[in-house]
Amino acid sequence: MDTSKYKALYLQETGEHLKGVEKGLLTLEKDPVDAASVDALFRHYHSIKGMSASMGYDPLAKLAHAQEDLLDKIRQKKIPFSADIAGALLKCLDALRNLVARVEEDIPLDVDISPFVEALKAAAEGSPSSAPKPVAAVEETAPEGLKLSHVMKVEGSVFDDLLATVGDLFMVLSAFRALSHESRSVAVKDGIYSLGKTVNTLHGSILSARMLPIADLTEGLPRVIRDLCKACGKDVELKLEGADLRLDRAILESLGSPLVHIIRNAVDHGIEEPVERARSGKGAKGSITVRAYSKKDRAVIEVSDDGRGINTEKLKEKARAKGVPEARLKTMTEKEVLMLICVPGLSSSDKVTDISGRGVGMDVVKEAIEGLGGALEIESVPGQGTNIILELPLTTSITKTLIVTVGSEQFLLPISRIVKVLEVRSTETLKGVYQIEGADVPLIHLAAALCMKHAERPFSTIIVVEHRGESGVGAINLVGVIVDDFGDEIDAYIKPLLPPISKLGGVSGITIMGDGRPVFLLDLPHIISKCLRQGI
Amino acid sequence: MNGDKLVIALGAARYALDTSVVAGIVAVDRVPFLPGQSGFVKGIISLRNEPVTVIDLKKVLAPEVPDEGAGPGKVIVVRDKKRLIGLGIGSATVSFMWDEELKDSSPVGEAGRFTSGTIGPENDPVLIIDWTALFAETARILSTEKKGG
Repeated sequence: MDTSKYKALYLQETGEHLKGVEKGLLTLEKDPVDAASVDALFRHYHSIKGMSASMGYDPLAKLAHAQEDLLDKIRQKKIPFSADIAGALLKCLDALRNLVARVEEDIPLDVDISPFVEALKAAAEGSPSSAPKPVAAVEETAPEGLKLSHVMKVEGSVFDDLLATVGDLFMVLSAFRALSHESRSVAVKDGIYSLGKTVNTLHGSILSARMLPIADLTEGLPRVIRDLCKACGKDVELKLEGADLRLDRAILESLGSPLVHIIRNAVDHGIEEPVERARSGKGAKGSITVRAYSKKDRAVIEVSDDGRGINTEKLKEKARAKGVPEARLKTMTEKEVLMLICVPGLSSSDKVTDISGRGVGMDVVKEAIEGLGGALEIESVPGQGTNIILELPLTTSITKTLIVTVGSEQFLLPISRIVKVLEVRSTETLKGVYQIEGADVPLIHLAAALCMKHAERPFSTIIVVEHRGESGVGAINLVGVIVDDFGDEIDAYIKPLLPPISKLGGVSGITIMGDGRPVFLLDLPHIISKCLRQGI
Repeated sequence: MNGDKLVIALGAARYALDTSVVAGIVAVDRVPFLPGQSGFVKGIISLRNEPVTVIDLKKVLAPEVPDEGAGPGKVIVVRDKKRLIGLGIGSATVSFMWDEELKDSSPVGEAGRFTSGTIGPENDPVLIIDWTALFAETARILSTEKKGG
């Protein structure tokens, strides 16, 4: 197992424990019967031992173990804490520190720690005080002064604040760029160009510091699956692939609940009982694979199981019962039918269990993924299994957008949803549909959707976007959004909407342009679904 | 209630705001559109890179005063730690009442929907604007998320 990726975490945690050891030993020297300090010291040594063993740092694990043993004897009042013991433990603490420093600097741990272990034994037996003989490899690296770790523990919110500040810098930069267009001064233009490069570098550094491996999220999944299997009497093996792919902390945080919900569905509904699996010629143990990989500038996480798959006929029956028109169901593609499980209240399962099966959840999962600027897709083969595909941006805050104009107002559309841009005569949009590659693509007027006053113009621009529908019912592949014109493609720093506009429909964020104009990023799925419902 | 006041003349009446909540007075050529705007919500501007929702103070407090539309005018931006809102006053004039003038004068009279009493001389009272109530009503108007706005 490659543990190197956990080294920073190991160093950070061990550093904290070593500080705790030093504090505890100094407290015990003053008050040798302080039971709380003994307990705390025991926990610190125990943690250092466990983490070091997991990482394969044997000398560290053994030395911590020897000290833990000694503390255990003191805790059980088999021996009293004495000055000799304090001295030996402090020497060993120095040795631990030196060994940790070697780990930090990638120096091999080929060190004989037996003199320290012997010294601990002697101190425990009350033998005459004997300082451990210097161990060259350990002593050589002994720091002469106080030393700080190379690894810092920083609150996640510090990075949130830093990113928000860089976002503000982007907006200031945008204002300067607008000024530089009007300026003839080469010095001003050069200065703003350099400022732009610096802000971009700073933004990249902060984003990289915010990126965490998906493993940080998935490491809790084995336990989740174990508990689910216990609850429903199944045996499921979890496979993780590509868990070192890194995503923005904010995205990972929001992914926790949706991922657990998908896994829960897979164990409860997807994977069959062992008897049913045997009948289908499958092994008794089910399999769930979480596979992460990058695709262009997006991250994809697939959760697949080798279970019974989704029964689309049953889904259609439930959709009928919920009032979805028969005509609509007949025209749905297989993919659209599968998306019905994301409709509130629909589930292909007959059973309502404590684990899942009320049809509550996949709609929330889909909403959460789309809220992150991502998309959810489902593939399923009866008898072979289901694959839930989550496509996500690698990071938030800076979004590639296209400026569109309606009347005198400007709005931003996320580039990721745009398929193509067409300039047409306005008369060609009157039927409410536009033919693209032989298919009728429904059109919506952005001005009407946003209740704006609007004067007809001889030419219009159709922004053709992908639309998967808000509920998944009657999902449409392409929709044309009619605007007056389109402008530049920009990397916009999108601010979240705060009160009193935090619950404003149809928009998902706002940016401030270089000239100070606030411009909204439109929530296309919301706007399109509303328009298609209302026939705007 | 003590402290300097910013006084706005709207029609025949005068209205006051505590200067401690005034973040700035912005002159705008026009107030850009805000999707879902209705009632007294006028649009959105920015102040120091912060988006500021603008309401039409005349529509709220002095509906008898003719509407000036979306054209040039002034916006008084008020804020506290949690809230930020712009009060569009069009071409209305503003002045100040200093703390020294008001030190013996406590707010009196009943609170209205968007006012919290009066200050100043009995024969020429100034209504105190309850901007937090205006903020709350604006947030209510703009809660169009589930309405399909």
